[in-house]
Order: sequence, then structure tokens, then C-alpha cells
Amino acid sequence: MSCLRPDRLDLYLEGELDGAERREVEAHLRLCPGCRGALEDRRAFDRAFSSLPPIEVPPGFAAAVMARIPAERRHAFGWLAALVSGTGAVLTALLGYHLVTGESLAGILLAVGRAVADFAGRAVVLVAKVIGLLGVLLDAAADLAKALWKGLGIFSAFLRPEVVGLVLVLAFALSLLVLVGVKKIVSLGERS
Amino acid sequence: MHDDSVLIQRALKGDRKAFEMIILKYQQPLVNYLGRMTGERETALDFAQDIFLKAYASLDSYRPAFKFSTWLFKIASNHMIDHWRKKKIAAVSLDQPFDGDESSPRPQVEDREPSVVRKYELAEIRARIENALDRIPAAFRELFVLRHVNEFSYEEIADIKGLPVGTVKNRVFQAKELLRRQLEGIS
Repeated sequence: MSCLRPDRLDLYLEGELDGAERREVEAHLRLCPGCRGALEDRRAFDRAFSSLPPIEVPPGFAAAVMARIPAERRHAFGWLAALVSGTGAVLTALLGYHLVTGESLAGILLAVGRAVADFAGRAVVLVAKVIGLLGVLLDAAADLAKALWKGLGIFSAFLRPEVVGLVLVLAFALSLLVLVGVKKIVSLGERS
Repeated sequence: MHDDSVLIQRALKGDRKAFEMIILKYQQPLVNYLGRMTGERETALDFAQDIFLKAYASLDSYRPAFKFSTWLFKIASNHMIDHWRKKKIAAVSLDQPFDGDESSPRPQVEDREPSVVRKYELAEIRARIENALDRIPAAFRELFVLRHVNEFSYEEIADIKGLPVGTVKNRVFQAKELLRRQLEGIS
């Protein structure tokens, strides 16, 4: 009679064997004091293994985790939900208008379509004009900067470097004075 | 106590209190697992926070067909694997063969007289087990902890670790044998 394998004893203890296997093990245990001792040994180990004390969790743990979670949950398809609900709202409004005024839905849709097209047309023209104006302003600024640079080059060619430096310092000081003056005027305006 | 799936549905709709209830329910088992895996309470608490944050961020991907506890512990187990990788801790891979696999012959029951668990008080035995746990390979320690500390079924552990049930049973047994050897050695 060969003794039971330790892994079999383990599964028996844990109730993991099926009926036939369990009966077989129990029959062997009745006849074998060595395996009975080994089983008791394993039972004692298992009890000890499963009795390890819990590790203390501080009382404010859950609150500390929640404090690290953003206030609002981001939904994966939030934009889609917004689009669907927006469309739904528009359709409901149209239907409501139709029910209240009795106007045909096709007529309402045509009027809304015209209004939207008219608004889009005006917006496109406005945007085009703003872009054109910005282009002209940028061109003018670039031409001015080029002329200033050129003038500075011609000016410095006729003078010694020390004199050029002095002129630049004076120009800088003058700009500062102008800025301070403007600020003072503005603040006087605020007081009055 | 509310059902997990109800709490998750509420949390998904933005109910923060519902997610806090989930944390309160699972903080103790999670910290028990992480504490035994890291051997340090403070690290376990930090990891537990990170794992709950990860769970919250990916709550959309949770499928109610599975148990929430196994889903949460799958995140925790992956977190531990990342930790070991970063710290370059050599963990015996569960994919590698180990002495005593189903194909390997097993020893017969040995006569042990008397066993260490019968010689000492329970408190001392517990301390010895905690000590011995630190000395067995992390991958085996994990399966032992999931089974005997967290009391997951073998099927649940198989789900958490993505292993066949038979392999899990065998490896838990191996882990216990390693622990027993450690305990016998220091008795």
C-alpha cells in the first residue's frame, strides 16, 4: 500500500477532490496512521497559513484616495453624447414650434436652413475681410521695419561706433520717457 | 451592503460616494495582499491608492460578467509585476517549469515528528510564516497570498493570473511546500 501524495492530501483538506477521489483518500486514511498524522500536520499548517492578521488600514484611507480622483468623471464618448443631445434638443424645439404655430415642418426647416445659410454667408465674408485687413497691416509693419533697419545702416555708416551707441542709448531713454508719460496720462484719466 | 455591479454603475454615472463605498469594501483585502507582497505597510498603502485610481480610470472597461474582486486584483497583480520589473527583482516566472510540476514525480509523505506548527504558539507561528514569506520567490508568494490570505478560489486565482486552474493548484502547493521547508529550517 503506497502512501498518499502530499498534494493529494492538500487538495483533500481544501475540499478540492471529487466524490470518488475523496472516498479513495478516506479509505486509505482509515488504514494508514502515517498519512493520518501527515494530514493533521497539514491541517495545522493550513490553519496557521490562513490566520495571518490583517494589515492596518488608516481610517482616512478611502477619503485620501477620493481626494486624488478628479471631481468630474470623464466619459469616453462625452462629445458624442453632447452632439446627440444637442440635435435632439433642436428637433424637439422644431416639433414644438410646429405643434404650437401649425406651420408645416418643411416650411420651418426651409426657413431655418435659409437663416443658417444667410448667417454662414455673412460670417464667411466677415472672416475674409478680417484676414485681408490683417494681411495689409502685416505688410505695412514689415515695410516699416525694413525702412528703419536700412535707415539705421546708412546712419551708422557716416558716424563713429561710439556716437552710434550714444544715439541708441538716447533713443532708448526717450522711448522710456514717452512710455512713462503715456502711463501717467492714462492713470490721471482713471482717477478723474 | 450594496452589490458591486450597482455601485459600479452609480460610479460610472459620476456618483463619487459609490466609488468610495467600493474602496471601503476592498481596501482591507487589497492592503493585506500588497503588504504581504511588498513586506512594507507604507508601500502597500501607496500601491493600494494607485491601484484604486487605476481602477477608477478604467472603470468603463469593467464587464459585470466577471467578479469585481478578480478584476481589481488583476490590476493589483499587474501593478506588482511592473514594480518588480522596475526594481529588477527576480521573480521565478510561472511559465517556467518548476520541480514538482504535474509531470514530475512527487515525494511520498515524510514522517515529521513533531511538526513546527504543533511546537509553537499561534502568534509565534504567524511571525515565522511572515518571515518565511519574504524568503520565497515572489511569483509563488503571490499565489500563496491570493489563496490563503485573500481566500480566493483556485478558479478566481486562475482568472486573475491568466493561468490554467491545474497549474494554479500545483503552484499553490509548491508555495506551501517552500514555506514549510523554510519553517522547518528555522525551527
